[in-house]
Amino acid sequence: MKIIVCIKQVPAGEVKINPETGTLIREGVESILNPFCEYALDEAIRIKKEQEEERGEKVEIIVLTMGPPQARSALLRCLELGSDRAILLCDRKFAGADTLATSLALSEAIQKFEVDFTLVFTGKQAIDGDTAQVGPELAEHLGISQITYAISTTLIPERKRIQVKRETENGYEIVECKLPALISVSGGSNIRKIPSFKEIINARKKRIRTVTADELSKDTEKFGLSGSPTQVAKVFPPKGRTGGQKIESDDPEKAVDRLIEFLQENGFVEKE
Amino acid sequence: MDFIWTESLPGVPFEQVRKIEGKENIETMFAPYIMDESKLKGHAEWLFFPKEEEEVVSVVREMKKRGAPITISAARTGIVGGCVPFGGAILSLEKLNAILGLGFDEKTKQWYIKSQPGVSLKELNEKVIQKKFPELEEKQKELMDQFRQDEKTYYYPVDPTEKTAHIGGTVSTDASGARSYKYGSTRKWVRKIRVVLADGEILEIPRGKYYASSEGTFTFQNTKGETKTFSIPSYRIGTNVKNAAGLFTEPSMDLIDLFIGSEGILGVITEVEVWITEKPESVITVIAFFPTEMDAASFVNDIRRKDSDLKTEFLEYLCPESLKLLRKKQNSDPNLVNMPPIPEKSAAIIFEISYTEDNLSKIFEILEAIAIKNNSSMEQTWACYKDREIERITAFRHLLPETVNAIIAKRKRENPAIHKLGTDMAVPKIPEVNLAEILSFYREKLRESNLEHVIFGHIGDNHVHINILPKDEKELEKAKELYKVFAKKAVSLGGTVSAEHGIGKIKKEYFNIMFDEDKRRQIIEVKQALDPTDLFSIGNMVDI
Amino acid sequence: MLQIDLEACNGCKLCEKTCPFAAIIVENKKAKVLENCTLCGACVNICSQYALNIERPAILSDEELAKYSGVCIFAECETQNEPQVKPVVLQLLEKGRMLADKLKENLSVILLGAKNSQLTQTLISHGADKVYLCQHSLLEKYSTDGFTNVITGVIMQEKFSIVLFGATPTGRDLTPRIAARLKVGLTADCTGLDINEDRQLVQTRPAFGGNIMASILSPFTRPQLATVRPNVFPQGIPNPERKGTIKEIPVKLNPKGIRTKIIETIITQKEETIPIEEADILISAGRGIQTKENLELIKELAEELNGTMSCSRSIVDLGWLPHSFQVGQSGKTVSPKLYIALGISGAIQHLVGMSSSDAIIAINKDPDAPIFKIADFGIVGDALEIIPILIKRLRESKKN
Repeated sequence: MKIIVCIKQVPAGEVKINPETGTLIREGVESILNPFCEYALDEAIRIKKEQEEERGEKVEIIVLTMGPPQARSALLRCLELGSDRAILLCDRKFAGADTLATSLALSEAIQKFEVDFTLVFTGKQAIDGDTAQVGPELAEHLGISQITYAISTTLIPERKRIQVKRETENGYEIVECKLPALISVSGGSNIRKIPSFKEIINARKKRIRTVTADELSKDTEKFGLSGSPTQVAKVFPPKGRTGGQKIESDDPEKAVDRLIEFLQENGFVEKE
Repeated sequence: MDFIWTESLPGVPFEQVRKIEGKENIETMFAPYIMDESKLKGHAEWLFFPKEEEEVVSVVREMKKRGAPITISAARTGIVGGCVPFGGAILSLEKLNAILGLGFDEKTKQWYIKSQPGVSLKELNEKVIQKKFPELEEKQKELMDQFRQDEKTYYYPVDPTEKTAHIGGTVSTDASGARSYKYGSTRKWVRKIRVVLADGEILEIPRGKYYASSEGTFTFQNTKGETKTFSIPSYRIGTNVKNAAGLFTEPSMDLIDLFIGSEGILGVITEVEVWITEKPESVITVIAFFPTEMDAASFVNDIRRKDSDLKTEFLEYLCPESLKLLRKKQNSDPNLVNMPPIPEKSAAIIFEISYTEDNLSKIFEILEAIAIKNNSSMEQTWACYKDREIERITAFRHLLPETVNAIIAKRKRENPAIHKLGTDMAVPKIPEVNLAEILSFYREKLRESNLEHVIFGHIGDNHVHINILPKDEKELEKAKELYKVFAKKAVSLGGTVSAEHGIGKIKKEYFNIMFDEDKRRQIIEVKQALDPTDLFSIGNMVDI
Repeated sequence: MLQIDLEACNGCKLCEKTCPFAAIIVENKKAKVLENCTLCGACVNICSQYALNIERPAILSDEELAKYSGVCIFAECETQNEPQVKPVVLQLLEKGRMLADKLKENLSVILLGAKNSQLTQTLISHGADKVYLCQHSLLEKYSTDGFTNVITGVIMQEKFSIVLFGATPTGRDLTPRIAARLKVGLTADCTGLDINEDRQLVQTRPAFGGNIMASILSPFTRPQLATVRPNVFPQGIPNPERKGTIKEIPVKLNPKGIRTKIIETIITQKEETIPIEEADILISAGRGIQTKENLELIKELAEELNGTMSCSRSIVDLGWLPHSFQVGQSGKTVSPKLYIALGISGAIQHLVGMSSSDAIIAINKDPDAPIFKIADFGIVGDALEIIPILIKRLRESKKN
């Protein structure tokens, strides 16, 4: 069984804009594997363990990403956590891609190199773009079903189906669909696994295949900036909201007095 | 006779120095200044904030005239009461907080930093690592450019846990941290100091200039022509013991080493120069789990033997009780612990090794062989090599003493008499059996006593801390007795009662186990030669 | 033009079953496209032989662009009890009306469902000129395939210039699928929408967890798609007298064309409590409340103030409250009249979800907690100490 996990390397923590130049300050910001992609990988690995232990089924996890050369370190982490091999789509022609061009490149790579897949896992959203679009768009390009906001999955191989518990606005629902399918994962343990030294060494023996745009398709205009229908016209820092009064609570009774005053002044509590 | 001449500065009018007067004033408005992290509470009549060396000189002269003792203070991160005053004046060096310069020693081709004592280790390292010194850009433009052109990253490698500690304090206490396993304690890194002595005169001591005579003496002469000669202590502490107790002494010693680690009893340090060194580009930090404490100790011995190949940065220990405590915390607050599930029934060694992509496999093979020999394997490890992940392991390591402190604080609320008992003993690294011997001794006694405890720390230096957590006053008394038993055992093996915390005011009972009356007298003689009227840091290390 | 590779086609009839408009049939074992094909692409997506294709140009000529006109809102509905339009739709109608007026074009709505045609008047009262009504039993509940196929069809048929969706879980599942099918630009979670001098839709949204704002255009493709989170734009005042037209679109759907099935629905939000995104007053719990038991205190305070309990991500991660209570970037965006943050530090991912609240009160032990930067009133202290005193006071004053 082949499971593909699409991942993204993102800047960790807070990325800010230089208010003078209006450009992103990338200096000194470490790159990490997007947390939601890690959750997606967690689920793929869980299924692999389950299928191998319970049914003796051989499962291969391939991680795929489109990114600059440094995205290798994110792929390496996936290999350390238990993926079997990796594909890096790396080419200047991929640069400047919006979600459509990105999902298209990913889908062409899957169709060209790993077309016999059973499942595709993606993270719900990347913490830099925050669009949550690539997963569903990829599913559309591949022509397969999608289930989004997944927090846990149950594979039913005998019926060629997967059941997914997904978040809804006021709770959860269990949805079932036929395989192959794309699942975008929304939840997972936020305490991240730490690989053992052995897994780190083994990861360096696994294959990371680099693919250029030309290798992927004769028509490279559909990738990167030229293939992106959305364009960023302007980037700017958000308008701040300033804080009001702040008091110390060495006398909590007094602090509550002032709090009640504030509530009364603003009409949330009736004046006495 | 080789004289060591001190200089005299005019000083500034005493009234100019910022001061707070009055015991009650200080107690209510400047309460943090009469305590340190040991929470020992003292009192003082004066609190001075000199801005520069000449103001320090003025204070010293004036207090000497008035017969008021001086307690030297800065970041107050010590845990033995070293900066806690009992009467007299507090001399806070926090305003002497400038980094004065960058230097490059042409002879040894090494970089160094010149600094006032009130600069924190955190600030120092941030600036060194990022190569950004706003205060030096103009003054030393060329040298800064040269520094930046040097491709290597540098840092100051001595790493006590508390990064807010000031460089001056680390010199006067000879502080150390986990990395002292590879890099040694502060002592190794001090290039020069400037000291204000009890007579108000100043001595600048570069390393390599003043050595004790063949009779083991130093002779000082001040600007008034007064001379004094004194003998360095003749006791000997083995060189392969990590030691912070007592005054440093060795035949034909360098004078600078007498002051380093002297806990403020000999003078006020107003300037330091410390070497910085290359920071390893890539390091892998590993937590390895072992079935028993003895397996872990044996692993440490094996690693130490391979150190010419591995060049381990540090070797730290968390005993089974430590892991049990952390596991409990993990169950109630997994986000705080932020680690994968901690394995049951094990002991952990945390170590760090610098590597390149080329030699990583070789390092792995060496470690795997050693781990398997000790009933573990590199599969039973957590390994990190990216900064963010390494920070998790560092935070985890520090979480143990933090958790212990939190438990003690809770118990203290119900019973104010309770406090933690933490030991700081180390035994010599040679012979190798010392480690297993001292650990088994600790274990036997702790098992007998039934007291709640954890053992953790710098196992690479044969220096582990025992923290006993008493539940009531009876247990507290029992723990104190046990501490003495441990101290005696460590000393009997040629070890020390204090490997890093120093003696200060609260460890004197144990100091006296290691330093008998005769040894203490030798220290007192040095003290009386340099500080005849007992001006400085009364109560630290020895009672006059 | 729908291109059919007759060699690859195996006559399986999946396309015939999937097409929402009965515009493709299988004749003599080969697919044949009819005149009413809207180029929606539902068949292309379902064909397992890759025999169908629609070329969609990456850049439309000015002539082509001019053929697209009008603003359209997707009317997502509540499915639980009585059919009801979701509040975000009414908010979008208000904004959509402004955009349509600026463009001097029409504002329409696509309403899908099985038995909810009575909602058309609400939509018209809130500003719609026209409602496209698509009713089918298979549209009673949301499904990716059903809704994508139908909506794409209507879009291709009517050639709207702008289509707006709520950035709800449904919207975020549906809209990118439509965007990929039509190969057009989509901007998610817009906090600002406007028309520029070139009559383009300017879509403004936060990125990098809220640290940066970006303004985005989709200049060369139509329609321009955007999603907007609930409670970002205000709702307008309906005019029940307002008139509009209703166009019924006959829809053909086959169960075989809908590949997902809902097996079970679990509601964790109790009936009596209002969803947090609709509450006027939110009492929100963060890590600082220390234990699960202390949530009782939060509930008590919420009761005294007539508010609703909500929380930060840490509380949901610890399993103390379900995800529906979570405020923040990966939770819900709220803008109540009053937001009280208790023991919440104010990481940017949380602030993004509540910073547009009218009034913000924060209690936190850490004087440097970022939440204080946006709180109108803050107390540096232990929330666990302050809350009981506050509850006591509020109860006392009620007695008087």
